[in-house]
Amino acid sequence: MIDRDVRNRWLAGITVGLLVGTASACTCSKQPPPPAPNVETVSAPTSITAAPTETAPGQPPAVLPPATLVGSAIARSPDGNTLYIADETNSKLHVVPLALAAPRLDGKVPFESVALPGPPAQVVVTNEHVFVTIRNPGLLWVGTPRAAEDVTSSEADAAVTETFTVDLPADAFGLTLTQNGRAVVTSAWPAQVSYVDVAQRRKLWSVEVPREPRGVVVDETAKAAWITHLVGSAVTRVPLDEAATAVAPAGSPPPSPVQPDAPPIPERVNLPAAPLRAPDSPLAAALGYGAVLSPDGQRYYVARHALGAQGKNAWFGAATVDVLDVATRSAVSPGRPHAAAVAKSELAQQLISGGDTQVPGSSLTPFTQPRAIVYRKSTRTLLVAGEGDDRVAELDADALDPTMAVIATYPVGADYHATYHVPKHCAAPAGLVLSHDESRLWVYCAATNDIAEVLLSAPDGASGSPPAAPTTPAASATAGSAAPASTPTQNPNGASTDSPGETPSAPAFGVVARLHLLDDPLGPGGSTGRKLFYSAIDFPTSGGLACAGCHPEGRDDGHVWHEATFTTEDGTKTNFVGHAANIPVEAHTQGYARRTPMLAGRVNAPGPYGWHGESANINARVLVGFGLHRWGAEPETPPAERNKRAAVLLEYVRRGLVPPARDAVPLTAQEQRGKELFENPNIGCAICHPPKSGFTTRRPYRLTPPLPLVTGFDEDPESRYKIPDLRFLKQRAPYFHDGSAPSLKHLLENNDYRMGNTATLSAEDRGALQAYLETL
Amino acid sequence: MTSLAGNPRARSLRVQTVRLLLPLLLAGAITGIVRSATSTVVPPPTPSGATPVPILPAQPAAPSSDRAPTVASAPPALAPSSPIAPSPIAPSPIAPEPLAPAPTSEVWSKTPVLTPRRAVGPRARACQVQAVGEWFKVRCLGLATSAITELGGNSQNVYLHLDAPNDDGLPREGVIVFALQPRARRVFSFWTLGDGYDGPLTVIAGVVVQAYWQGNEPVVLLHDALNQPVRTAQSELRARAAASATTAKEPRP
Repeated sequence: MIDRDVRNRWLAGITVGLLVGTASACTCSKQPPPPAPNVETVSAPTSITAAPTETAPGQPPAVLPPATLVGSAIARSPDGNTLYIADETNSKLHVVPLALAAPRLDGKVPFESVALPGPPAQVVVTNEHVFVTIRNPGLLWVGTPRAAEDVTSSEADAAVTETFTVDLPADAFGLTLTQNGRAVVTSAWPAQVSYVDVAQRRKLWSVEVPREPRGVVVDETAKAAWITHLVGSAVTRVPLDEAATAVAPAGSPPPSPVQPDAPPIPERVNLPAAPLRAPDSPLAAALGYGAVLSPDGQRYYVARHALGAQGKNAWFGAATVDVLDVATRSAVSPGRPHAAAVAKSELAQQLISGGDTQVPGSSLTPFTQPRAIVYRKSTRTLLVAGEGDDRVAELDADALDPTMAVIATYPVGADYHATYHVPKHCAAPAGLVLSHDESRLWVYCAATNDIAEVLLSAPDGASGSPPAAPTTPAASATAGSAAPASTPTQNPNGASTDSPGETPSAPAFGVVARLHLLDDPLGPGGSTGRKLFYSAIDFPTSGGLACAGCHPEGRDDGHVWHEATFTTEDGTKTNFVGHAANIPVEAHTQGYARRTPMLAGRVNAPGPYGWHGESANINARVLVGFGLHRWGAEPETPPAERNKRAAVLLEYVRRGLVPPARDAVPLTAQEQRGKELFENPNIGCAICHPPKSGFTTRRPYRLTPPLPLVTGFDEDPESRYKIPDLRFLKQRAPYFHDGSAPSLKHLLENNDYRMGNTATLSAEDRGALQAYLETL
Repeated sequence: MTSLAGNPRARSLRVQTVRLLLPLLLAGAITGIVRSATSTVVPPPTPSGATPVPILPAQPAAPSSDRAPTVASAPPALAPSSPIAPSPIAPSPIAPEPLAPAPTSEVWSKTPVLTPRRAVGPRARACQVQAVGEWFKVRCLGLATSAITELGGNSQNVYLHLDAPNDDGLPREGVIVFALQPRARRVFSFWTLGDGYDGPLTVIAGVVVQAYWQGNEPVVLLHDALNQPVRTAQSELRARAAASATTAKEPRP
């Protein structure tokens, strides 16, 4: 899509702009050379020709296009010789030189770490600069790498020095550079998209979008940014055509053709989640961390989770890559037929499983909890990082539904713990970057803070002639398996990998080297808790979807789950399901409404916990959660092991989850008025939501009159719900345990006398109260 | 669907079925149980007054310079009995209106086997694709096809067929015939048998077929289905029991 000439023009333009600046104080520190064991060379592949370097050693560097203009937690330099990793846990940018001959990870070359002004999210690297989004404070951080041929550099020179920063709304996350020298950045918690003029080092505009914007890509042809969201199935299109961004009110004269500072009006574009698995209505989606455009710009691929998707034992839904036809802005998947054609053998008609053929029988989780996605041009495939199952799935990008067109899977986690099924190496992959020739993939694993180098299957292997057919039973390290990852694994289509320590033969594909960056600052307990929080394959903890599947980054998926009691082959148990249609019809229940709560920064109280305050403390609540978050019964697990899991998870959610970054600003007059109303005993808000105790008494409370029953749910016989903590309220819509209030405004306008005396307030005062609540 | 796994009555039927079939299957003698099963065919929606006419085969293979090199993949594996050599799918003209009647068996028998854009996995690579104008036919050779379902798209102009079962009652191959008109998009699943909660005779997804037009080029993709059932406590126990049994049988060094 972006040819080299265009990129070079972009680079030239951006360089002129940047050279006029002066580098600010260096905030960098050189990391001591890691000990040799940091890099594990798993095996020496022999079947793939080494990738050529684009810059021969000793030669002046050529002006090369960036590897990609789209941000990720890991990026490589245009010359292919260096990896850059955004380490959010340690607020550092790691700079990892690659061995020039391959290029590949090499333990002989020490990596360096650069201190950043806050936790980073994504990084993009051009010939001249390194661009990083910083979550707190919200910044676009721009640094200059140390020149390779700079003979004046000394040991004290950092790998990257800060050149300048641009202030942005807090929680800056997604990043993409455009060909005309701009940057588009999403700010997740404040729900903003910002447009930055890099050369002028200033923000042109920020515009509000629906909650939790994350991944951003730019359609250069149409001059528009496409935004994914952590919550909801629709995506957002933000026009970037500067001639069109000056939006005039209706009836006013036409705007000036060029007003780059005028914010555009974002458009919502429906993109149904997993339509082939949808029941009778479109599904909700979550975990839209990232997306990618096809090189021709015609297809937009969004990797995420479809809540309530149908399938065998599908309590949690299904992983999905939903594809949008950019030109028509419609889904590529055809959707389910109204009267599907079916042919069934008599044998199938007699078997119970023969009744499962109305919806796809393919795995619900070819990957679990997608966290990053890249397009592999040479094979027309997609590579998706599965945060929950420590692997990367390669999917057919030509498919109408890529999740039903799995070409290969590459397990990256290794050395799994004997008790907790979490890996020592490469847990929770969060970033992907391809080598120039696309034969290698570098995977950044956030929960273990390390990199895995993956040799990918050959292009012809992905286009109809995969590698040798499997000779052993498949998928020993996949979701749904407890087999140790030290066993060589093969996916059903032939790609294979070995794990360190066992090298019976050189693997043709899979992990070939690993590099550990920094240890977890939380120590052993918190570190294990971190891995468990993101892992979907520790079966005693949950049945196929991790804590982070519903509480991404400790936040929430915006979904109202169904807590239902029904019978499976495990007996009669109470489980959560994503949609009433996931419940066996014989149960004659739709379940009780359970809106996912946010955890980060809201789990420090001693107790009680649970929807009705039924769990005395959070430890008890976590243990209850082990049983709720699965299909059927918990496996038999010694109580000591269950308690250990709860203890380490608790350590992580209290110490490791980071509350959303927000800009600290003084209250406006309206917000101050709202504060006074909130604390006024005659209005009564603070009686149940006292500010001194986290805006909650944590007591169960019966809303009177009761909320109308929401369609699709059963009436909960226990009508007293624990009073919720109001912190971080603004970005936690929809509200109430049943999600029946889509906005705070709606909640206040329809409150009646359920909570305090807000019904007596004027519209102006209600607005003031809402404004104050949004600051909490 | 999902509900059947938890239905005690249905589970009882499943257990009975598996108990009955498994020993017989292992003995290679389940004839008589499902011998009467014949092919199940979705009746073709015959256009009123339409008279079957021979349809010319698609254009012979022609190099397509605008196709990415990876698309020109190796020909798929063919069954020894396949009478016609494979050739790449040729770009076809936009389908005429109205849709021509489905080709007859005689026409199909003379139509060459084509190379789909992508066939991934041993089961998918064993499938044969043919095209006559806008009509397509997919047969997966050697796949014990327990069912075929249409998962996505318009249900018109779709014909599904299962061959009569073997003497032992196990299903044989199946065929999908469908029209692929401009802008049409279709997704089908061939189902087979494998391990699962019905024991070794569980109906599981076998091959997924996805088809659509890309400009003037028909795209047919065949992929082996990835089967990874959601774990349950009972499935864990079964897996452990199976693992223990395997370990017990292994000779000591």
